[in-house]
Amino acid sequence: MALVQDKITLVGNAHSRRVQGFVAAAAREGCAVDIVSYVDAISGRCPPPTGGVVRLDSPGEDAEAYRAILRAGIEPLRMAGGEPLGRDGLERLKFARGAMLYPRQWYFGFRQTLHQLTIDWSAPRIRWMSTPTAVSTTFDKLACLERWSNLPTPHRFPQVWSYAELREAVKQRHARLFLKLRYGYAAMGAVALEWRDGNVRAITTVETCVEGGAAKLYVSKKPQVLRREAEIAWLVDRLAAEELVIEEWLPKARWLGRPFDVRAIVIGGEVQHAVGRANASPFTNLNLNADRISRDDLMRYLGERWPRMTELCVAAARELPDAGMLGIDVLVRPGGKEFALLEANAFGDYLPGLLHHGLSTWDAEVRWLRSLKELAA
Amino acid sequence: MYSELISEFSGQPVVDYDDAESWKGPAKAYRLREEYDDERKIAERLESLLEQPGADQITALIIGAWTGACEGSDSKEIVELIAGAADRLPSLKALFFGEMTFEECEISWINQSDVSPLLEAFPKLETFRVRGGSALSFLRTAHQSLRELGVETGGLSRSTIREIFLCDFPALKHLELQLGEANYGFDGSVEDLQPLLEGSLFPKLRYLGLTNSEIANDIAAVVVNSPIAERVATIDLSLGNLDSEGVESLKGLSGNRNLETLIISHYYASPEQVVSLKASLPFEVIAEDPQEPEDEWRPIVHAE
Repeated sequence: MALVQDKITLVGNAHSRRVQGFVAAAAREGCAVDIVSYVDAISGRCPPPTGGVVRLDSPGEDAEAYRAILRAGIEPLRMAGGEPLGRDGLERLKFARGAMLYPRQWYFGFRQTLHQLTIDWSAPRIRWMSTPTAVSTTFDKLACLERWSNLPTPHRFPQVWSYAELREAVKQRHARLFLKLRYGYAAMGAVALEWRDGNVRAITTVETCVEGGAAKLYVSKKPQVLRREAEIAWLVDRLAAEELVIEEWLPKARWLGRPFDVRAIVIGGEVQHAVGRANASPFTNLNLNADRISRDDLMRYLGERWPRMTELCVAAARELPDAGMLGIDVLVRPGGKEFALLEANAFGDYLPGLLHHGLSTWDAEVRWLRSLKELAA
Repeated sequence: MYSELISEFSGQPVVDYDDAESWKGPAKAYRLREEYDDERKIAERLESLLEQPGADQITALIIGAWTGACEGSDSKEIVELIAGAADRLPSLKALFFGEMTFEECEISWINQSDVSPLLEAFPKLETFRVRGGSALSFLRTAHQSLRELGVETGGLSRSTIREIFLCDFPALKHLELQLGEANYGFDGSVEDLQPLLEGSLFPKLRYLGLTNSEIANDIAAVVVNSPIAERVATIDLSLGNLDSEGVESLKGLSGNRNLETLIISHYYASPEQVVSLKASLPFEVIAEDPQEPEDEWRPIVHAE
């Protein structure tokens, strides 16, 4: 009997390692994958699939896809009262590795693109691995956190548009805050901010470079430490214009002296892979050179509390029910007894080399797709 | 800056102690620390630790971040707390007081106080390390068994340096003073180090560490001809801003017959200059962590 999921259409960058990883995993299970680039999906150049599974993958590492998504974001951002970079500016825009370019406009464009896909690709025999809406929701950190209002998350402060407003809004003499771009990903624009009386200090993934008289922001693998308030205020103002999520900066449990958190891969509502991420900075993203802690070591560390952590991830995923796969980031409180949900990642399965029961994340996803009986044609 | 907590101390693996569940027998270095906004205080953790069977055999203890470490109050209360527990920790040989990362509390934000009550309370102590130079004091004290003293600061004031030199530590073999920089409390000069360099203090000294200094070149210039250099096995000038000038001075140690090791790691001299230094000295030179010689700021490792 032919299965719908024997044929998979993937939207993504054919040259990226993540897409190649998935295609190889699908091939091992006898599934063919048609790859459609975001540029083609946006332009409508390719005919919509008539059936089968559709997998949305990351549009990353593709400058033209980024440009097309930013272009799709012009109107929606303007409608939201923002000031988008227009078409001319877009054509002149130069991409550089790690550059932070209009993340808010990018999000509006990505959401618009995905929304358009649900309209254009609406054949009844299409099964989305994760629906476009589910994917765009995970790219809005605030929307995710709001869905988790009944689950443990770090305390959140109201949004502000400047550093001055932030100091006004948070009156404590001593505060530890974690600022993230509402529409950022991969630790882009994260700031761990602390002030105690007259002292203020920010640790951030943002590196500022002055080029041609203008200050440009980059993602830095090495955390930058700012200690001058004027510098901190400047950075926060820049980031706040792209919208921030402001949380209390919760301490993390430590692994060999370094704080860590957990990335759990939830596939079809079940936690499969899990990896601890330990780094000597407040940022534990693996792309910032954090060290991995194995699932077995995590299980040993958490002991009888392991199921509570996995149940929390499952509950978090349940709030995003149309996502077939999610990478859920969970903070483990010191002592390992309490947890807090940090974010969900629709493309959080890029964990090359990480095996669970001998399967990569992509293998496990393909297996899950093939096990879905209701898809039998 | 210190971005990680240590995982070994005094030859033992470090275990963060929260409650009875954390107890792993006495052969561990237990660390008592509070998180930001921790409801469970170090005092409670200490009390629980001391109740464990065999706690009287603990030999190594670390006091990490405590609430208020970086705010108005100084460390007096916590010094008294630990000193007050001395009779229940009769085997303690190694104490690290104030081990915290820059993320928990910047080294220059740590409010220390007079730590001599700790030395007095633990007469069997052999290793004492303390982090944070602000308000740090060693009020003239004597200790018969202290072998290793490490003072980690982003800026050590001359008055604290003077106090340390007035202490009587006849067994001291290893001394490491992180001097730091002027912005964060170092207000001394090589003159303030003279009592030590003259060689009459600490008769058993084998390891002389004057590290993390922004006057590393000045220290290099005077240490080469100092009496103390004639009787120690190791000179450690690491973590500071030593550059070609300091490296050139250190060639003056070529006639030294007792030195076994010179440490200059984290230096701003060129690789060629270091090769030339190694060639001119008849003992081991450890030169790791090379820095950019053209760096105009030349930061030291632990400041702020």
